[in-house]
Amino acid sequence: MGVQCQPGERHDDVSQSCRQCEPGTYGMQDEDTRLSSCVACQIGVEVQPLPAQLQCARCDAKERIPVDCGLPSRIQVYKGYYRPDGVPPTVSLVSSDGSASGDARVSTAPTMAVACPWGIKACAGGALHGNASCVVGHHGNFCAECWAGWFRGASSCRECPQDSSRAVGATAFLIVVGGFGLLAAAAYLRTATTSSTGSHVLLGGCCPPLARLLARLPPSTPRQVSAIFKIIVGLVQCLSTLRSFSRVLWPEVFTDFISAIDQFTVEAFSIVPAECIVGQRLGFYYELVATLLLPALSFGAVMLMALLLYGCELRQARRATRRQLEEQTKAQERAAQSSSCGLLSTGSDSGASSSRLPTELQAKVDTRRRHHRENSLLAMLNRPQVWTLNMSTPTHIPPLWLCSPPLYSPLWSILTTLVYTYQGVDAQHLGVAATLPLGHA
Amino acid sequence: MWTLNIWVWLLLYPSVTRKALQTFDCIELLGETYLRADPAIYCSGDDWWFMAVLSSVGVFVTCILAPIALVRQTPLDPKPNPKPNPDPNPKPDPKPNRKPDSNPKPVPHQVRQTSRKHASSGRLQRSRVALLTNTYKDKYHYWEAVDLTRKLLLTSVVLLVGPDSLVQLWFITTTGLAFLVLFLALSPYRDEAAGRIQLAALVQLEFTYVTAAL
Repeated sequence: MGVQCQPGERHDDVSQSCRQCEPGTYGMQDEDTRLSSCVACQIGVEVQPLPAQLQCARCDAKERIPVDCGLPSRIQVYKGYYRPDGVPPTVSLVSSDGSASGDARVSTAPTMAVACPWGIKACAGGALHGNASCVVGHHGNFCAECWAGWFRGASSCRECPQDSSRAVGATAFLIVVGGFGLLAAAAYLRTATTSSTGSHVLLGGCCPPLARLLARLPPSTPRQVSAIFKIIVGLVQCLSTLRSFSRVLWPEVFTDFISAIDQFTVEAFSIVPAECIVGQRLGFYYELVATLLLPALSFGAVMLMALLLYGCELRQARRATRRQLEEQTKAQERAAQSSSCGLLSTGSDSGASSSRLPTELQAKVDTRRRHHRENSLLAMLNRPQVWTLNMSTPTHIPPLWLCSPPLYSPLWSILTTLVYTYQGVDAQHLGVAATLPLGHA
Repeated sequence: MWTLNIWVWLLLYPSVTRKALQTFDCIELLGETYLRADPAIYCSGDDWWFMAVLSSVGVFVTCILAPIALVRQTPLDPKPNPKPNPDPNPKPDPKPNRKPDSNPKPVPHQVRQTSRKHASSGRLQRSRVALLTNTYKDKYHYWEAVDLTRKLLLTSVVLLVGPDSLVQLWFITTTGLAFLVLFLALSPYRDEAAGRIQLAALVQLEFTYVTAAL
């Protein structure tokens, strides 16, 4: 017995040499005979994937550690979990679980794999560890970094669109969907009127059959519909969180269902390949900034759209009123002409004809015309239309809006709206509003 | 316009709070902590602290300021057919035994106009936030804020409470149960049908949470 084996080796009686203990075993030396031998790890309790080791790592399935302890020669990581490459099996990946690193004889089994944030979409698990255990397109710690030419989605890395036709198609689809969304919002803004109870009436001005159908519904229907829609949205939002619980192995059908409804949570970065467009990794910081800005941006977009729509509606209403006033003035002039016993000759141009009126009659017609115009405008402003009750200010927006840069308009609108929230809309507001059209008429 | 803004806000609220709170959700691997939402980022250093401050501001605005503003913006409906009150905040009469004035002074026109102005402003405010209030009974006009708090706890805060542990599952189960009991006790919905649907949704969620915890 002249050969002295190293720890983790065994004596080979045939060749009279030392050989490394194979994975699934560990080396042990008999204190009396000084002979080294390999002892197999206990199946289901211990594992040792490395050769020439002195101990097995404790692997207790009862502890719910995310590896399969059935094969002592390998650490079979479950799907959805990650284990870095080159780490000894006795070393716990998480120091806070109380298990001492490197000591296999401690009571608590070491954590051999950690849950991947993206779950099975990124981490394939298996006997290979590190990058080799990642799903295609992923690498790095927790398989959470993307290959070049891939972008970070909401729940996995996705390949940047290579086929330009597909990219164009997807872009066109998004534009169409966005356009429909904007149109729907614009239609809502254009036709929504608010009653004193706060109930909203859609389709006030367009689609008369549908509007009539909606008008026949009980007054509580819009309230019920909005309540049900809110409940559904809330349920979907709560359900979408469930996939974040890595301890729960949901059935695949349920996971697919949650992934499908997760689109309701508006994860813009899973839809738009921003990293592909920019050509570099953006990461969480940009996502955070974009998400925090999203409410403000959407608020600005809605306000801008409302401003444009109400501005257009107001301009149209003013034009119609002006046309009506002109027609009424002409009719009054014609009536005045007929009552002046044929002193005046008839003519199509009212300005020309009025210039030939006697001074007294001219003054009378002017006074009546002014009174009529003021009464009509005040009546128009008092009418509970969208742009007087709902918006509360924009009667004087268009003149200022046309003069100011488009960027200032939403801000100005928000500020004025907020100011009028506290001032209320009453005679003071209407007075200010009523003087402006006269000046611009 | 305000209704559309409120819809957008309701839709975005869980996403914003979840993303903001994800900044504080870190995972450990071999002694280093990484951001769970993006493990390429360490949960330490200047960049992370900047993100933490940014997220704190976002959380403060969306989770604290927004619900408070919501409660303040959803006043109770006035009593039906209210009489005009010249003073919105009447003070108690310091001389209650004083004889009534036989010749009361007429209410100044300015005061009546102010009262009308306040009433109009209140109506306008109520109509703007009608989407948040009109589905609930008058005395539970603030319930949307409660529901938003429920969403905040069940979709965002839960991710920070004992991640990857049973504590997380028990937290979500208990929270869901608490809100279910609260809903059953108060039944805040104005319409019975909506109340039933909400009850079904809450029960379904609770069953899912219990299944996960078991």
